Amino acid sequence: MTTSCRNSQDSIKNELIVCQECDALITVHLAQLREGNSVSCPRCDGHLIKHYRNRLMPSMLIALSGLVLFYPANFLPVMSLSVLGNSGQNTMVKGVYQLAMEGYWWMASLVLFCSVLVPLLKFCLIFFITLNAYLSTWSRALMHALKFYQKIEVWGMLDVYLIAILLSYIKMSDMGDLIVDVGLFCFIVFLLLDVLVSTRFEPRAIWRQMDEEGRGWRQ
Amino acid sequence: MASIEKDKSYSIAKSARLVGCSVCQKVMRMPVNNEQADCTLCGSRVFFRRPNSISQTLALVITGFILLIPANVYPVMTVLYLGSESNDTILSGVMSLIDYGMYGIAIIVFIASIAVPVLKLLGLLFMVMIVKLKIPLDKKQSAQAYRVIEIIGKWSMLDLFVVSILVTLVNLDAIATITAGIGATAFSAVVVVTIIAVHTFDPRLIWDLESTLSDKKSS
Repeated sequence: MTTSCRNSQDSIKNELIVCQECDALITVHLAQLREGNSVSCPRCDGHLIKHYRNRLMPSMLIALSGLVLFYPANFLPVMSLSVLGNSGQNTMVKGVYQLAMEGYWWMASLVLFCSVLVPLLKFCLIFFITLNAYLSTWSRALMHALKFYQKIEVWGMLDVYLIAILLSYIKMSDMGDLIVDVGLFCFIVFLLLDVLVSTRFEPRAIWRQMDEEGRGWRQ
Repeated sequence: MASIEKDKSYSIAKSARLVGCSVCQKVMRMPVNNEQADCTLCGSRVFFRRPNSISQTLALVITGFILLIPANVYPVMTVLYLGSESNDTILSGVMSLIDYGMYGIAIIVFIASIAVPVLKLLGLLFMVMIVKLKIPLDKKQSAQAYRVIEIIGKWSMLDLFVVSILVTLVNLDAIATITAGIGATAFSAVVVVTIIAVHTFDPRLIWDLESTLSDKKSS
């Protein structure tokens, strides 16, 4: 019911968007946009709209599966190396712990933040935001969550971590018996979910929806 | 079926005293005699242009260049293999990879930990110079360069993640151990500083030059 009502509004609606990269005023004819379309700025090629009116349910489910996979991806062994009967094991969290034990607090917290905390927070926030937006419960907490998500988004570095695993595998492969463990497969799926949800979830679409329903910071 | 009209002259939001929120994309009119206000939709602070963008970016870029020195002089990791100790700096790590004949990884590590940070800092310095010295360059290309700098930034973390994996993987008491070094701390500081610097730089300043240059020509 609500969707058909919104569609009829769209057919007459043109939206004015200010490009964040070049400050040009662009009029976008929303009626000609389909679900998932993107619009870039004709002046500087920057993104104006990433995914127009993307459905929330898939993002919510991806975030939920990501949360389920968080424990195995971060706490199960990714690789183990054994040389002459001695063996060492690597998990995401153990790398952080080892660095902290050696006294490298700054590095340990950076690795913890970029490869463990930010992905976890991203999944939690996306789940919370999409659930609330789906139920149309606009609250201050939702707005705080959206802003927080937009702040930490750039610090997620799971993709870099995967290449780092690959590099260490190649580097260490002639040193001893290197065994790839179950944690790595969980980690790869975790990473794929992270990439998938980051590309299809657009915070600005939620802001737009909130604006259309007449809600905002001052309510 | 184009959703936006392409024409050669674009109206600039600032000249119309309009401003687009960087968080939620809401377009609003700036109050008279004000350069900043609070967004009516999400409550974030909105500016015509980021205040002190150039001086902050420049300060962070200089910090990055200074930090590059300890990052390259001190070892990023220490390898203790069968009683013999060897200290690896970033550059010597690449050299030893070439000695072992691992050219592929050597190239990846070189790009991620030497080429990317240096090019990023030089690129940002160049962006600051374009704005400060009003260098008449193609704006679209400069904007593209800025976007590339923004995307490649996080890949410099590669070497640090490799260190964090290796310290746990190669932890085999008497046979071999790998520990992190001071260089890694300095290097991670470079990465963080450059990522912050990219976001303090306001790309709209590059596009502002276009209007001021064309004003001069017409007058």
